[in-house]
Amino acid sequence: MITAAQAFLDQFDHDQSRLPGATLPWLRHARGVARDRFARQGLPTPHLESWKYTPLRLPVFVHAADVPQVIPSPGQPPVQSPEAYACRFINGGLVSWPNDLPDGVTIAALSTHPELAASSLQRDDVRAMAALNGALWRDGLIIRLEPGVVLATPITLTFVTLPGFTAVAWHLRLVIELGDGAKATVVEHHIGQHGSGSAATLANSVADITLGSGAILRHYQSQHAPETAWHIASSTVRVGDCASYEGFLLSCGAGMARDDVQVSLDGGDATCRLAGVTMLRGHRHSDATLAVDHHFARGTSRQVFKSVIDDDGHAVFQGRIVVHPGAIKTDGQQMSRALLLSERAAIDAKPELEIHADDVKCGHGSTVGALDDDALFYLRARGIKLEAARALLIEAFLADALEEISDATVRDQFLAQITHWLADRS
Amino acid sequence: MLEIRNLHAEVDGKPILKGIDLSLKAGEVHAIMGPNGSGKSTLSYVLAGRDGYTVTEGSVTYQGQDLLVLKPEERAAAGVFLSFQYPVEIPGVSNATFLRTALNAVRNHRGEKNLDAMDFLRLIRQRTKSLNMTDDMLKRAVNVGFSGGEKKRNEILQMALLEPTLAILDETDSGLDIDALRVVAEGVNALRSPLRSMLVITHYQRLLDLIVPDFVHVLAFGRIQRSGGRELALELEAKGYAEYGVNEAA
Repeated sequence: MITAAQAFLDQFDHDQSRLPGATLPWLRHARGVARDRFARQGLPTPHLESWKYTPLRLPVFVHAADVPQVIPSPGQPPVQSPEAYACRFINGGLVSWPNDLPDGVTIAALSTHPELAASSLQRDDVRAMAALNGALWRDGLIIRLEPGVVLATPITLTFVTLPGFTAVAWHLRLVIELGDGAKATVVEHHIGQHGSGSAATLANSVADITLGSGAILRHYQSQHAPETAWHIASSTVRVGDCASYEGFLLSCGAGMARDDVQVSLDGGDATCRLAGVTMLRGHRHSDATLAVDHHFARGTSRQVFKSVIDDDGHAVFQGRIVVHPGAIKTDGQQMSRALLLSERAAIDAKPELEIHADDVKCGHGSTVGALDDDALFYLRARGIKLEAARALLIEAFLADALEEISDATVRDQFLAQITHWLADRS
Repeated sequence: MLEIRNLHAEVDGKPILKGIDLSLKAGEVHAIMGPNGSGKSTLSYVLAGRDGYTVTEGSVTYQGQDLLVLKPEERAAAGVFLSFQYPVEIPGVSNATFLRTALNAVRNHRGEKNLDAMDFLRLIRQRTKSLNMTDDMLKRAVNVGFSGGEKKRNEILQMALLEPTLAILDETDSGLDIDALRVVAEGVNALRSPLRSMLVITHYQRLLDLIVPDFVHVLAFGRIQRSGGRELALELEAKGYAEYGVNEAA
C-alpha cells in the first residue's frame, strides 16, 4: 500500500509540468529542491523533537484542485465588515480578491504572478511540511505594501473548507511584505461549510512574512475548520529594525491543528507579540509551536497563550525564545496557561529559553489548572446558573490573552466567537 | 419563612451538624453564636447549597418548599442570600459585570426583564453611595485587591441589589475594625424589613450591639444548646462559652 508521503511525491512527479510557474526555471528549481528535501525527511513523526506531542497519521490525499467541487449555495456569507479588502479561498483555491486598491498596495494571486514573490518562493524551509508546500503549492496570495504606505482598512482572508467524498489536500502559500514604515492589518478566518461529503481534508499552508524597518503588521487568525480537517500552518516572520509584528491565533477547530510560527527579530529594537487562545472539545488536537529568535539588541518579545480544553481534547504549547550572541538588552517573556474542563483533557506545555547573551531579561511561566470551585459556588450563590458561571470564569481566564489584540473591532469579533463556543457547550 | 428540623449534616464523612432545630418568621433577626468549630459555617453552607455538605437527616423548609432539593442558584433566585465569611476573589471578572449578571439572573427568575446598562448604573450608584463605596470598586475585578472591609461592604452591596427574603450573614464582623463594622452594620440595618428575615452568625457579641437581634441561639457541638433574647449574647460576652464545655483561650 502506498504511503501518504509517497502519494505526495508521486503527485509532484505527475503534476510538475503543469504547476504554476512551471516554465520559470528558478521556480522549477526551487520546487525541485523542496521536493528533494521532503523526500529525504518524509512526514514528521513523534521521533522529531518538535513533533513529539503531535502524531501525524495522514491518509492518502488527492489534490483538491483535481477533484471537481460542488460549491454549495452561499448559505452563510463569511463574517466580515464591508470596510475590508476581502479575499476568499475555497479548499485552497483563490476565488475572489479585491481589485480597487490604493496606490502602493498589491494583492495578487501567486498562481498567475509567482514572479512577485520570487525571493520567498525560493527560500529553502527546513520544516518538512513547509518543504512539501514548497514543492506542491498551486495557489496563494502576495500582499505587498510599498514603503510608507499605511493601510487603515483591514485585509480579510477567508479560507473555506468544504469536505467532499474524496480526501483532498491543498498547499496554500501566503506572502506578506511590508516596506519600511508600512502598516497593515490582516485578519484570517478559517471556516468550514457543509460540503457534499465528510471526507478528510488537509490544509498545508505556508505564510512568509517580511517587515521592513519600522513596519507594523497586525495579523489575526481565527480557525474554526471542521473536525474532519487537518490544519497545518508553517509561518516565518522576519521583523526588521524598530518594526513590530503582532500575531494572534484563535484555534477552536480542525481535528488536528498545528501552527508552527518562527519569528526572527532581524534588526535592533524590533518587537514581536504572539498571543493565542485554544479551545478544544471532542477529540480535537491543537498544537502551537512557536520560536522567537532575537538576533539584535533591545528586541522585545511576548508570548501569551491560554488553552481551555474539554472532553478528550489535547493541546500542545511549545514556546521557545532564543537570544543569540549580541542581542543584549533583550526582553523576552512567555506565558502559557491551561484550564482543563474534563478529566481526560490534556496539555503538553514545553517552554524553552536559550540565552547566549548577557544583560537580557527573560522569563516564562506555565500553569495547568481546573475551574475554581470556590469561585463557581460564589457565582451560583448569587443566582448565576452553573453553565453561565462556568462561561464567566472561562472568559475571565482568557481575558488577558484577548487583550493582546490591539484592534478593538477584531478583539470584539474574536470575543464573540469565544462566547459562541462557550454557549455551544452541552 | 424558614423551618429547620432535626438537621444533620456531614463534611467528608464527618458529622458536623447533629440535629438542629430553628424557626424564623418573616421580619425576624436571629443571631447564632458559637465557638470555632461548632458548625456555624457548615450551617450557612448547607442552607446555601454548597457541594460537599451532605445532609444525612432532617429537613429545611423555606417559604413552604423543600430548600434542600434546590441548586445553589435556585436558592439564590428564590431569595436566599449568603454573605460569605471569606468573599471569593475572581480575577478577570469586573465587579460591575458580576453584579449585573447576578442581578439579571435573579430578575429573570422572578419573571422580570434584564436591566440595561444605564438603569443598572443608576441603581448601583444609589446603593454604593450609602455603603461608602467608590466607582473604582465596581471597575476592579471581583474582590481582587479589596481590603477586608471592602470585601464585606461588597457583600452587603450584593445583598442590597438582590433584595433577598432570607439573608444569612456568616461572620460578617470577622476581620473588620470598628469603623468598618459600623458601615457594614448600617448597611444591614437599612435592609431590615418586615418581609425579610436574617440569620446573623457570629463568634462575638460586638456585632450584635450594632445589628440588634430578636433572638439569640448558642450553637456548640453541632446543636443549638440554648435560645433566648438579646440578653443571652451579653451573658456569653461576660462568661464565654465555657459552660457549653468549650474552653477557648481567646
